[in-house]
Amino acid sequence: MHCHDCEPLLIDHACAQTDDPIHTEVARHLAGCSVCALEYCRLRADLAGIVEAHAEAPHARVYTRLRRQVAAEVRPRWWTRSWHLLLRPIPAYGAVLVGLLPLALWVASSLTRDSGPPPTTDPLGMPPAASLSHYDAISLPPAHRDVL
Amino acid sequence: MTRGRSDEDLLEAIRSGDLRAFDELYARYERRLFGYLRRMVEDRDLAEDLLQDVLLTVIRDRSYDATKGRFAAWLFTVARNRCLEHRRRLAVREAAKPPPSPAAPSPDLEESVGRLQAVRAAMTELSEAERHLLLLKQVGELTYRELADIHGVPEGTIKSRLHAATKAFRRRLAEIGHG
Repeated sequence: MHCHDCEPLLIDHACAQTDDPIHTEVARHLAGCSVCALEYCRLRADLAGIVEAHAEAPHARVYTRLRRQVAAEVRPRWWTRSWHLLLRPIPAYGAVLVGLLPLALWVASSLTRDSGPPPTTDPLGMPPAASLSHYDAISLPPAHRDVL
Repeated sequence: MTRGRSDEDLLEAIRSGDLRAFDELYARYERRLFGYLRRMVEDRDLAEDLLQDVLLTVIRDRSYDATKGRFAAWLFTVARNRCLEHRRRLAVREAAKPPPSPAAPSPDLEESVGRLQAVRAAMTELSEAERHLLLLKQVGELTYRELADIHGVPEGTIKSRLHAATKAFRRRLAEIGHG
């Protein structure tokens, strides 16, 4: 690419509006031609000046007023707010769940241990045998008394 | 810098009541949109009112279809239409008034200190159409295609108009002494 081909493409190039092959060609030419590179830098600086000179923040009261109006407009109900709160990707939710998991397992296991096996019904109508818990056959009885 | 949710997602979130999405969208566009409106109407208070009006309009208006174009293009289209409406109203009011006495030159133009004043002065000297196009392209960051849609002309026309406007702007800037 020559300088006279490159020059009319500089504005499109600065606006990122050139097609890929042309973009590459212009970039290659700019890398090797100091005259066009300087012209391109000046153009970019002038265009950046437009943004710099015109980007201006409004007064803070505009934001406050507008936010209040938007809030009134979209009227977030309590369930909407709660739903959005739940949707927030907070890692703390995961940490709380992981912390609660052992507690839940402990509660579940203690419940099943205390309840024991379900009573069975005898086909002859006999009452179910009483279940014995906390019995240790190896250990000594707590007291020795003479029976007679 | 990473950009979180897209503008379109933020708009949906705002409509479903998420005010944090509004904060994010406002922070994204306040300077660009206000800068554009301020230059178009040349009145700070009016530009603030228009900013509020434009943002409320895009939040209320559910006719926007994200598949047909970017949110930014739609936002600046609404802003442009508001400016044109204001101009029309102003023209009718001005026509009813007696002609004004010649105004003193703007202090911004007199004090040619600094590059930003020079840029503003150069922009002021462009035709309205040229200034409008440059602002939409540079401040609004719209593409040629989006500009063509807004103005209802072919993309090639926008391209040639934008080239002419850029050249005129740089020529004016060079004459002022900051080009």
